[in-house]
Amino acid sequence: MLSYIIRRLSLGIIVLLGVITITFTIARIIPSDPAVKWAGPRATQEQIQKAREQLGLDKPLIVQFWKYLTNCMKGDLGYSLRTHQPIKEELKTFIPATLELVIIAFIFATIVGIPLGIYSAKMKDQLLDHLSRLFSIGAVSLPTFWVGLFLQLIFYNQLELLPLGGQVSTEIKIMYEIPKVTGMLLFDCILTSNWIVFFDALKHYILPCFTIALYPIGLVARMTRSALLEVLNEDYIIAAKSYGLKDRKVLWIYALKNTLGSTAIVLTLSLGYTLVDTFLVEAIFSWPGLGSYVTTAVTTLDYPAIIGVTIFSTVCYVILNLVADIIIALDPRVRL
Amino acid sequence: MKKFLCFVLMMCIMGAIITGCSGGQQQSTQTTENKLKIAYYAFISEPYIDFDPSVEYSNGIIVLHNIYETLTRYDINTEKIEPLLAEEWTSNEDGTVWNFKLRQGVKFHDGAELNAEAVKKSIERTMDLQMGAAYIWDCVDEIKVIDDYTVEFVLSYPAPLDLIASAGYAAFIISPNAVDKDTGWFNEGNEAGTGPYKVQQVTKGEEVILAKFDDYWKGWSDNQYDRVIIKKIPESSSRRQLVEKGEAQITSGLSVTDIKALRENPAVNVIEGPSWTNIIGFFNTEKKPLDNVDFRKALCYAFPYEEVVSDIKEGMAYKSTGLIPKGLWGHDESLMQYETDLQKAEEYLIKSGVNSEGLKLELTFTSGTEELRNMAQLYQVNLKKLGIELQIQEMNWDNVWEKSKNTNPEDRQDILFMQWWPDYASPMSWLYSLVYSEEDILFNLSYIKDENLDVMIEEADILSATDRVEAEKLIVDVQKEVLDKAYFIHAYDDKSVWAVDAGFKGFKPNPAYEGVVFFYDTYYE
Repeated sequence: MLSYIIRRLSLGIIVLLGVITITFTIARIIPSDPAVKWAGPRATQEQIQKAREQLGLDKPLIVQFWKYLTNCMKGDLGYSLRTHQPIKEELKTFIPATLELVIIAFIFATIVGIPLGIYSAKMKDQLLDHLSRLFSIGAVSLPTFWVGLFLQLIFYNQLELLPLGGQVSTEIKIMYEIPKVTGMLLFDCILTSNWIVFFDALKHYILPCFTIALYPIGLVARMTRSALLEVLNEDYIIAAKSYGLKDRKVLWIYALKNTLGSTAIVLTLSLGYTLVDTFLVEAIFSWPGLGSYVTTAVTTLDYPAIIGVTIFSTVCYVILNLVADIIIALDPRVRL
Repeated sequence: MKKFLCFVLMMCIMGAIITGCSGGQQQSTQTTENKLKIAYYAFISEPYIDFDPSVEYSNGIIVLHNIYETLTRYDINTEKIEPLLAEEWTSNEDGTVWNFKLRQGVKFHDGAELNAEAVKKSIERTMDLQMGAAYIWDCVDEIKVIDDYTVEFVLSYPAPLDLIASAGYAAFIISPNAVDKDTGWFNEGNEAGTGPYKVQQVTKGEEVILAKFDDYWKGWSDNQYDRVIIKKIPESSSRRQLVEKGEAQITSGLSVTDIKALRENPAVNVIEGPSWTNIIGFFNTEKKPLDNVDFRKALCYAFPYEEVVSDIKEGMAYKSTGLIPKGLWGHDESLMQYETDLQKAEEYLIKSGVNSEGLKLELTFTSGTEELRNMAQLYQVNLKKLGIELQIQEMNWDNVWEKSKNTNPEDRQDILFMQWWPDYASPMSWLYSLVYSEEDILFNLSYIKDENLDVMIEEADILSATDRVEAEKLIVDVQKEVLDKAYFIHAYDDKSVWAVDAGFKGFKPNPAYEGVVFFYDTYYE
């Protein structure tokens, strides 16, 4: 088991190195001068030259790459061409808000998606099953930005029930101190028992979390349903039923157990997708997270920032894949 | 039955959270309203990139101009440079020595007092850092402290220092206690200005909350705003909804559709004004057949000026008259302008002797601007009628610029569209950057090398420091020459369009400070 994990981990590191090499090369191949960006839109030739030396761009490409790689190992991802701030510090500022959103959406997707899939399988070809499948297909196929804008229109513009965007109301920000411990607002509010800010923030989390969770809910519900239907036709289930065991026990104890592995893998991998999906949702809901940061970085060709976010996303994917591999390995049938 | 009850209970809890929260917010807003008056500016992008006033050369001026002040400011009402931290100023005859008399009794947010030493150190800090728009001070040779409230600028060549001192960027005066701090200190959310508002809270990349500075030298009246929130709301539809609901007091950069809808809403005022930003098409005059003046004139007459202003911009732009945009000194409405006239275009095409059959021209512009895309497509249709195929290349600005700077003129684009705006209230930015001969290509992207024009521009620049009326005449002459040689397509002068809550008063867009709302001048009604 340990050697299996080490093997998968080594593969992950190779993937990470590959991604760094590719993104670094692309950043240097594309006809854009980082020194010009660093110096600003109307910089003089002297300012540009000064920036080139400052950024080490006057050195051979291989030297630049080696320096970047060794700095990466130390956790130094360089400086943003646009803001002139260390990428590491900027990521530290923006990652917690995104992670919190993704984690909440993930929990939401799990507690809604799995039961939906189970009931859909249990009531195969009945009304609930049809509705559930319709919902799942819609959830997977509807574009996230459309869902986000639609929800804003209904819950903010029409019903005036929920806020349009942001993490906290401006009045609350002005009147109360916003806790900053981990950077994850709801969690920080719980830690500091700041309930006024907590409930205000909670209201802000509903729409973006639902928008992000919609895709994994649909995916997990469909996956759980089909896996469960497959298991329900297995001989041991028929045998269990013929022994007179209660339907509920057969479904929840014997059948579900064998489908959880595949569902967990889908959930884990969809978490990676959700992370990227969040970038778009954040722009719609003015969320102070990584999405807004990377959107600006891409539109302004801030390569160090783009590479920084790419490395972060790759690390997340590698970890999630590792988790998925471990889940697979936990199944004794795989080890046989 | 049990499950149904569980479901109902859960829904009740959810409902209680939502409505409970909403109720809570209303209550909180009401309590706040009794105490504080808040102005909320929904801004299209991040409120700032760098919080260092000597470095910032981007969005940040929308925040910094409410925290810091400059020696002088361009006043949109008088259309002149007016005193701000400097009460009065004089210059010698040739505009190389400038004396600024400072206002007394002005305090910085950290309690320090404004004096000549603070001004000297602030400007020297900006000059030493050489970041952002620091080059505007390139003319300054030495800054001398004459007495506590008089500062003298000795220039290496004549320059309009009163205009430079009013610049949107790089002209802020910083407290003497902060001038030695590095950029990192400012980027932690610290500031030290004399402006009407000080920083209460900064959320990097997202939001800045400003609080009224009680000791502000102009004093306060009851109906001014206590707090200002400048927040990034990237989606046009979201910004529109915020203003419609009265949550945000002011916003800009809305789509044409959103503006149209808001014009019908009595709770919202749509305010328009000149922006000093114009859209210019640059001809590659170093490449055949665009080195031919008559051919360029043919292309100028084929451009759809009216359609762009009325159909694409839906009236939110002015038709350009010359190179200098409407509202800025040096702009002259009586200048000749090309009209869309395909017959004239045909005549000039024949006169040029260029065979248009199978002729392909490449047009480049920065991607992501729908208006420019639509404009290019309309132009493509018109040129097709002349037998010219226009190939539209939409690229990232870096790529557009890289291509335009290629050492081989044949490898450059044929036509390039981009926008231009000044760093301070002077038309010289257009003339020096876009027309004056360059050894290394920077922004003279029509690649003009005209000694006669260079001499005129140099003269106009010197005169702009000493005799602005004479300078203006010369600037008009330069534009006449530029129009005659058809170096550019003067597409349109952009308008600054804002949506403001009907109760938000006192705001007038100031084209010298694009995107800036001077919140001290505004009040609620």
